[in-house]
Amino acid sequence: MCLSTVYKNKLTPEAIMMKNVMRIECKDGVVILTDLMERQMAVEGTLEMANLVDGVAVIKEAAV
Amino acid sequence: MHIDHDHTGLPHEHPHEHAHTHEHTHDGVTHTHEHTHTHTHDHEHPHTHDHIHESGAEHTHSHGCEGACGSCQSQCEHTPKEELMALMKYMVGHNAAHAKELADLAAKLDQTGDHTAYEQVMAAVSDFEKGNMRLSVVLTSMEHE
Repeated sequence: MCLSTVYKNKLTPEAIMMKNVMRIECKDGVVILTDLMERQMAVEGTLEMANLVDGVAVIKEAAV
Repeated sequence: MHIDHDHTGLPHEHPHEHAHTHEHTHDGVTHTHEHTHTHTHDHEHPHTHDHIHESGAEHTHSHGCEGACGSCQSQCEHTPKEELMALMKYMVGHNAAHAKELADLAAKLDQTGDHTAYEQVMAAVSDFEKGNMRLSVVLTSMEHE
């Protein structure tokens, strides 16, 4: 129920994709992130990890 | 995978040309000139643009200004303050939900026969709610500024 910070591929500050994420949807190989202000970001890949205690998630970007 | 592109969405400058009229006084005579000059100022645009993915697929994403542009009159969806207030509003509600969860936990402790722990947790819930009330008052005050 807490807001999360979502990272791309690795848990490093420069890999932050979006903060205050309230919703993560995975659909057809695309992960859609929505933040508290209803801004959305879509990235091709999969949800690799979500730590709901620490409020972090990692998106594994799709390999080409 | 997105290929990096130049437009970062950060504030940037454009030159603008403006025509102005203003009054001058020469030797006691007041009259009006029109003149044009160019200047720049920082601003940031919400925008859409194409991305080319490594797979060759191309599509368009929209990007918001994220409320960072003080000069933008109409295009920004949220100012930084609005965003902070939204976050604070969320946290006040979030804290209230956690307080309820703690109260439920305390009730379960009481059911196990540990009334002392129940009372201590409920005292903590009370303190927590007082702190949250203080946040709520600040938020209300900000909303009326």
